[in-house]
Amino acid sequence: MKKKLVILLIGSIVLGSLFATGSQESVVTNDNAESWPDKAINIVITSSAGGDGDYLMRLLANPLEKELGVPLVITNMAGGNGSVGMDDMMNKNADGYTFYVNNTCALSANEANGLVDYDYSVSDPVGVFAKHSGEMIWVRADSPYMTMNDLIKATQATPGKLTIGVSMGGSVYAASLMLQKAGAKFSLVDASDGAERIIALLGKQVDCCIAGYGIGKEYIESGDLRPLCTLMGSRSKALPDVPTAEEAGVDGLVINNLFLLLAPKGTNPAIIGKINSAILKITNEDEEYAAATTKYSGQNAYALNVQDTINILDSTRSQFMEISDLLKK
Amino acid sequence: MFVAGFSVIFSNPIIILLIFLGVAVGIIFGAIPGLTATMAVVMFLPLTYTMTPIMGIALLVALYIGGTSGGLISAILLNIPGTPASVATCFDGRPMALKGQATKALGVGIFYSFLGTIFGLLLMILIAPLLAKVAIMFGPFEYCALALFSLSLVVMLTGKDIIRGLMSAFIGMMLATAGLAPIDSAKRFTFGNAQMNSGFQLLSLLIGLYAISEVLNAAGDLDNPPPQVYSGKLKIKGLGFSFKEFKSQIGNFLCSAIIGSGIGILPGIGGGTAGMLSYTFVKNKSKYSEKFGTGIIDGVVASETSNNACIGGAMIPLLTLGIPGDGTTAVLLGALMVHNVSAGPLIFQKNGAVVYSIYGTILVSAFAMLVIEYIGMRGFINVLKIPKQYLLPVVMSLCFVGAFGSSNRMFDVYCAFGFGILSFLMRKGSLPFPPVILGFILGPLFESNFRRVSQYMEIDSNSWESHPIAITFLIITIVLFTFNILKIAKTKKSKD
Amino acid sequence: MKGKVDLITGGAVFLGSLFYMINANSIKVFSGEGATSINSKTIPIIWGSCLMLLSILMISRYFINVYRNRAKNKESQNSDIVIEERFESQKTETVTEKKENYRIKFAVPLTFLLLIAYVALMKEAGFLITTSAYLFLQIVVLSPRGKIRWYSSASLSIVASIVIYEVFVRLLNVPLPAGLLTF
Repeated sequence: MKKKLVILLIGSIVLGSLFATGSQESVVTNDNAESWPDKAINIVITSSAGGDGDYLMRLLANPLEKELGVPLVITNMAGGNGSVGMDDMMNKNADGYTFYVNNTCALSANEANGLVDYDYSVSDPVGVFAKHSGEMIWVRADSPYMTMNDLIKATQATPGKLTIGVSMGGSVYAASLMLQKAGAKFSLVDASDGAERIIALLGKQVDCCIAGYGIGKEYIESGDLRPLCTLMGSRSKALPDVPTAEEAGVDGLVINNLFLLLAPKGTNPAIIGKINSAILKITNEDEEYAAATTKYSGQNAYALNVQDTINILDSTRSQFMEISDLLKK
Repeated sequence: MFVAGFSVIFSNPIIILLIFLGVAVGIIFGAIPGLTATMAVVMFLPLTYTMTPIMGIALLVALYIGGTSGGLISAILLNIPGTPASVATCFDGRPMALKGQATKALGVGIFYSFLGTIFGLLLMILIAPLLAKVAIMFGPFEYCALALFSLSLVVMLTGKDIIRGLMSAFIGMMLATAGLAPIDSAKRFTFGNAQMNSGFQLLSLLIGLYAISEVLNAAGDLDNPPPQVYSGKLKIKGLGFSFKEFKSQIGNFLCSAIIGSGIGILPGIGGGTAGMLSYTFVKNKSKYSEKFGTGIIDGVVASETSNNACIGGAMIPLLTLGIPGDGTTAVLLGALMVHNVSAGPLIFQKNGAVVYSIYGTILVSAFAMLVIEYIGMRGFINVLKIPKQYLLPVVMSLCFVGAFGSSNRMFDVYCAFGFGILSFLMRKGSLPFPPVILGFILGPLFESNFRRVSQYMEIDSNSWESHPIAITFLIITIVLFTFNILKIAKTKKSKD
Repeated sequence: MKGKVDLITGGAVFLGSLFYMINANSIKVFSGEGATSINSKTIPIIWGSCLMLLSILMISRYFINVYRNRAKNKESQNSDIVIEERFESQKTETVTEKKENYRIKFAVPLTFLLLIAYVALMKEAGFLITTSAYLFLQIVVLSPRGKIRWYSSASLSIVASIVIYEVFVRLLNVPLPAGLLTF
């Protein structure tokens, strides 16, 4: 008799859970904007631990926690160049307590190469909060190329013989396509992620490569590698002598990768405004944060308000969609 | 500077305490199936922000070492690898436990984990820069050849039925193709599901194949459970094994340590493969290879030496090149950056003190691991006394937590369950599990590098000539493979 | 039946590799810059074909063995009769014995069901509820014949779930599904 009671108890809990209306996370109305935030905020980083976006977000999280007055719970949900995290976001409630970290290039590249069939408008952008350290074009220090012109002329002299290490499908690949469009005659070779591309260059497997500043900067100092240009729109603060790609003569080659925070669609604009102002305030006023950011990425601390963020998203998107058929092939 | 940095660790009792704490927590993470060393490092990373670089990094390295070593506990006692690195420890560890030699298995595993770590550390101290240069020399050609070489060793893992062994291996390789293809990110077998884009995770596969199959086995054996060989008082003499046995394993130890560190130095492969490759290699060259899998210490020695030597190996490219060797070292790299340590060619000049303190940390961690695990051995054995009906469901639940925790999505939990179904079907068909894991890990390694090789060959069809390392590996592969096939064919003929 | 393992396994693997190959056909081939003749389809097709080949080899091995054992068939017929006799000599059982018989007979499918339910309901009902229920039921299923301890199993289940939940959610920041219990 007693054991039947126990089974009944457990069984009713299970059955109860089956039939009870599965309430999702707390129901939120628009009136909550005033009291927001009143509990911990989740931030999901759509790339893996240890990477650029991950580190820069965690760097921001410290002052942001103090500014907002609630703890920030940071987790990673990596995969598919950010698309796994985006998928999670599209199924989330817009209650203002979960936000996602992504970067402008990944969002546009994924749409342009057909990996996903949506653009950033499936979310409510909150704001750009950091600049990527910047992709650069690298060659070995002992090579004869001192400028981009040297390099491109060399490829034209021996078409198809000089190799450039890229990671196919993403923004680095798009950059190499733009290079080819500008007249270079490289042979594109895949060399996995940024770190691997630098190794491939060091190990003499490729003649040049595109990789982030953060990964290669130690090799400038050690005298092994030389950056010929940066792909960002303006020169890197850490390397003021290295020209941008456009300055170096490659028209149209600008890849400005920015990290931004996204909210599930339908989030209260007042809440978005609150976070955005907090981020802007920290970026403009917190010197410690600014110094740490520059030390890590060689870029200034950088953030945009909501409207500017949307503008950047639009322009990056059109930039990538232009070469969409090349990427989609 | 070496002495200064090294001794910082010993002179500061707080750091020593931190290291012991880190190793202990790491061992717990490692021992619980579903939780991994990587998770431990990720979870404690934010905690280290407020510590000094040496302290913070010491804690994380201790977690890493404890986590890699802890896996042997559940591998031996439960036949469920606590972390991917300890898969090969199940092969002989569990049979030893079933024969009543659990203490010996644990003792051997712990001691050789310790020795393996020390070996890796010595390599780091003595020839790190040299090995870093070797790491750079490995490109797509070399990785491709290495992957082929390792895959060919599957033949040795399969035992008597080659067809079944190869089937398992291909199943593993095919499972790994799901998701986004390497190089061009084409969607493969995603069936329109965005969650499938990142493919299947190794952890889900391990949970499904090992943990779920254990539960199903227990359910199937209710009326005839395997005999309890481990009740009553347990006497642990010294290290659990004799000096004579130690002498007999020196050769195995050296081979496994070299293989382990070698795999560690090459970015992208990891401890699990190191363990399996060493196991297969040692089995191959052994005079009594048929005994492997029945419960001999050689198997445990090979696996545990290797996966711990892999740690020392993986730290070399991490520190000297700034390139992570596997998932855990990738997080460690982030940690180094957070603490303003510039990993790369100038690390000795710029952050020499930190590097030497890492050496000290590894040494202390190795001892901490030895001490903690030996003290805990009695406790671990008592886990075997917990009736299966209580132990297995809790372990199962923890596994699912682990599967969820590593990526924060339910999808990996669903996959783990799916693989559980697969394990059931495979067991019915007598298909072995280890080749699946090997195939799953090595398949993508082979494919991505093979495709890159094709890119280089397209540009210059003679480029293979400038890769002597790759050619050597290929020749060794062909020779070993043919040799093994002939050996198996001979034993079959003599049977008939 | 023992010999048929090869046939069934071979057949199942064959079907599996067929399914794989059919789906592999729809993989998009990349033809932009940097493409070569080895594309994303190549390796899956190679693996799939190898597996298909292996399954055919296994099926052939089965038939070869069948032909070889033709001569020994008459002996195995006798052993079948012995097995049937054993089943006929069973006594009648009490109600609890019968229940236990069912439980033990269906332990494996029950475990499957429990696992499916656990995994499927976890997100909706939350970790605590599903884990408590799962632990309790799974312990019951796995208990040796006649040795089910209702109270200790129930209390262990609930306590264990709570401990695991607290450690992971509070201490380690792993966001386990809260489901129906919001607090």
